[in-house]
Amino acid sequence: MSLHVNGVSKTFESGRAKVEALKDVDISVAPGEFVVVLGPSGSGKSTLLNVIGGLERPEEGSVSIEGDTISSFDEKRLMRFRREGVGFIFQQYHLLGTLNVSENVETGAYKVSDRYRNEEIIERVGLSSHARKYPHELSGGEQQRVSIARALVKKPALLLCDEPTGSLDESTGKSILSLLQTLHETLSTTIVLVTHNVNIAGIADRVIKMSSGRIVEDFYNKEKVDAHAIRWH
Amino acid sequence: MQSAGISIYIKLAWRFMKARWLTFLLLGVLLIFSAMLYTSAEESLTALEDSSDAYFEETRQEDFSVDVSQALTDAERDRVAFECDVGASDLTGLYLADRECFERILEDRLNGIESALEDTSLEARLHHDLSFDMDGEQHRMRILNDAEAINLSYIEAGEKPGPGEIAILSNYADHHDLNVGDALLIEGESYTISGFVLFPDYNLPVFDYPLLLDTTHRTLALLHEDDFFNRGGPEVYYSGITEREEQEFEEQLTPWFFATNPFVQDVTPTTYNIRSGAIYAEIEAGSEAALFVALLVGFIAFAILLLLLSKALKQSRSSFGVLKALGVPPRAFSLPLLTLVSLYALLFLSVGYALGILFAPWLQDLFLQFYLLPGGEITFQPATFAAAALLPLALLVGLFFLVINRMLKARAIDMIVPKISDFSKVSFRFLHRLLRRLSFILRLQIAFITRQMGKFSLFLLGMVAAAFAGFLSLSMVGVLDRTVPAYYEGIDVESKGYCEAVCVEAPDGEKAIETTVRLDGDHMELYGLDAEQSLHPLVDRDGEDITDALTEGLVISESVRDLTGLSVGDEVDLRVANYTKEMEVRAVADVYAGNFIFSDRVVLAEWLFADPDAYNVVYSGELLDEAGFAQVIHTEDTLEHMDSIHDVFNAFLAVFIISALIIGLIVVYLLSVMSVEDQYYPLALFKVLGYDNKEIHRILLGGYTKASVLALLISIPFSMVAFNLLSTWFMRMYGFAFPLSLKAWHVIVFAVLFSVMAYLGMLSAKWRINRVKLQRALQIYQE
Repeated sequence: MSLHVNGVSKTFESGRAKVEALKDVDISVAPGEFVVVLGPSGSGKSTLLNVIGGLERPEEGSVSIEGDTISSFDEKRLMRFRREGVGFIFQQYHLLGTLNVSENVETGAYKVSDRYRNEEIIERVGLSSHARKYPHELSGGEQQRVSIARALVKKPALLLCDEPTGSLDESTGKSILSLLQTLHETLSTTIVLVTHNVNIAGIADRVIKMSSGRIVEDFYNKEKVDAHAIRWH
Repeated sequence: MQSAGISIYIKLAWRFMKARWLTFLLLGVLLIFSAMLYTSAEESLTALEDSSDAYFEETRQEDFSVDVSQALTDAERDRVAFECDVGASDLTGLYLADRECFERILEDRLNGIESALEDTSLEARLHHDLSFDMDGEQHRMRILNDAEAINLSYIEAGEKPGPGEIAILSNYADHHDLNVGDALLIEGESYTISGFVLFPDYNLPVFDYPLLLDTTHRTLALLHEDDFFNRGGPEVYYSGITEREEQEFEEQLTPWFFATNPFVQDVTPTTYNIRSGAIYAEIEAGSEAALFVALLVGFIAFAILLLLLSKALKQSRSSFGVLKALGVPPRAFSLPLLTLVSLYALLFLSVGYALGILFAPWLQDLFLQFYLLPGGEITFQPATFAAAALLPLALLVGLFFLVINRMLKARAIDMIVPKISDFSKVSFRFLHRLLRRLSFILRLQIAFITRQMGKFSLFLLGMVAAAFAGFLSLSMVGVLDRTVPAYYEGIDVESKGYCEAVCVEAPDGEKAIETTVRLDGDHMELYGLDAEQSLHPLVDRDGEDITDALTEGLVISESVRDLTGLSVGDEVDLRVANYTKEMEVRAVADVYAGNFIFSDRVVLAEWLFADPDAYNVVYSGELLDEAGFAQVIHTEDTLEHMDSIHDVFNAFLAVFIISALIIGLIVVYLLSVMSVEDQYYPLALFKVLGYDNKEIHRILLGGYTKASVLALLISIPFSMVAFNLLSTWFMRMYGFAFPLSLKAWHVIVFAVLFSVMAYLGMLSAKWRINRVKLQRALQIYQE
């Protein structure tokens, strides 16, 4: 799946103040690429992820995925795009406490015909024995695994991860990143992961650095690092 | 730091309330209703109770009354023949023949009782009943003698009447624009109104059959003694005062009266006497009902307010957590919030109290349309204010304090980064397996409901309560038309001609018997009808003609069934004076006009008069001439009287109808808003996951929509049962029928209103969430 972000700008209003979150951003991501967007807080990386995922509309520029300009989609098409084409992983997991693991995963593939079976994807994230458990019965890392399974069950062409290890300790964080690496290799999903942790950059094919809403650096890793081998702090 | 925290949290609470101004405004309306209903009822009833207590004491209200036969007993007849040389058979005849002898007989009856009962004293209550024309209509008057020791006359305004003067009820005078000094023409005699009078043994204007509480067409009156006795032979009963306790009186004295005094027809303690004791039950039941309604409305308002507040707190928990982590004591931010909420609630409760005080005189005036009592002054009662405003406020503050304390007990870090909430799930695991085959959306709907049982139960209960309030409101529309007017519409009797004792001439209509009986201590109207008669058919609730059942036994009215709980096949003992007769209930007639028992006339005639042809009333399909009868009552007049009574009742009912409807609809709206707001987090999450609005609403709100329909359906049989219980309760408490029943149109009209309010509530909540960015909603409302 190819992704093209062309001249995208986005401004937020906060009272009388205007904050330019994205300024004329251009990115092209090749199918199957694992991209880490790196930047400090307020650099615009999460806004970029939301624009790519169709959660925010850019004021200027366009976002195209597989040749479709999603930034011009109406709300209905945008929803279908999010339902079928994109998987989201959040820092806070955002699971539904009233649903068990299997049901939470099921919410990620509603009305999607080409999908994994729940059992299969739950097994892939290593939670087979927890399928009937509820989120409050799981550790943070396990909850994030459920969130990953929910995002991947629909076989998305694009996986968007917003600080997926932000709430986890080093060991759990690394195991989550390792899982993402494995899934990327086995499923060939395009992944865009935003983080402020520079050490994580080593696990990706490509690193895009952002600052104050602009892309300041864009390079390919010559040698990818195994998630378990990275320094955490 | 602390003062900064305070102002921040005042601002936070204020912003939260401002964002939900409509919800809070409606909650305020519920608080106002709660305080207003309680205050208006309590203030008016307390004032009425205080003034009545003083009035009854000052005028020495009777403790009991003794109805006596107007006919002389065999011994009395022999005595008057021997001592007075008079051949009279009844008191009226004796009075006309020899007033002194008449007074001696009364005195002897009284002395016979008083000498046997040292702790009891009696006084003869003499009265004349008459009809007179007023503005082209027939009006009724009961003139009472001026008592000496019991049931003293009470002059509200003006003076006691001298010769040629009369004192009447101020209610009646008001209806006809009569003032002190005006002339009143009664049966050709002109009297000058000297003042307005009340009698403590008549705090309801009930002085003959049928039971009409109509002061537009009826008045009590006081004449000068000379004028009173110049009007001819009066009717008599005795009023009494005793030191005995009520239970002892009932168990020992009442049987004694019947056993030793052949002239006694009935003995009624004041508490059970509709004309003098109804006010006691009315005040007690009125206070209880006001308290119940206020508590119900208040409980709903507080439950919703607490839920809203706990949601507000939940949304602000990370801010609280940060402050707590910074070392700010919890009270620094809980107190400002508590203060703001308390001030808000106090404001609305105080407005409710003030409106209650404003409405109290109106409510008291409504009571005084029927109760012949001096009105009491409505004053500020600290106890009422405490119960209406301060007590609920203290309850709210206390509960809020518990909620906030429970939340603030958590570790700061847990408040900043909340854990996913726990919930009861064990009992639903088996359900999960059972429902596996259902569609995904249906399974999610069930999951969202069964795993949030607390919230869901509150929602369901609230909706059932709201639907019940709505049904109750609508079922009260025209409820009074189902009583006396419906009864008269069901029969073809245009006039009833009552004879003295028994009729002797051939009837110009159909023969009937009417008398009062006692059934298990309750007074009932006993009707003797011929099964073949055509003017007074009897039908049951299904509209089936049941007149033939008279040949097999008794037919009771629905009112009697409500009052006694009797049903078909039960054997009852009817008692007239000291004579009882056992009869079987064979059918129930669809009559709510009073406590009527219908029997075959021939059976009654043999029992009461030892003559199968006897009757004491003539029913006619035409207007009867009054000549030849002791009294004639025209159906048209009765219905006119009822209309004027119903106008007042309907005004009273309208307030209840509108209040109940508004309360019900507000609750539907608030619960609908909350059912959406509770789902903000999953709603936002599903949106992020690419579900369209329809699907999200089906998943998250579909269950609640089904629950709303379920609540509406549950409330139908619930209301039907509750209405039956309420009708019975009204009958037993107040002695009059209030036949609430649920009709199809009630359900249809309220279902439409219910749906509109639920839709508006959901729409307003959805509109608010649509304005919040999805990612932000996920953060704010995280479970």
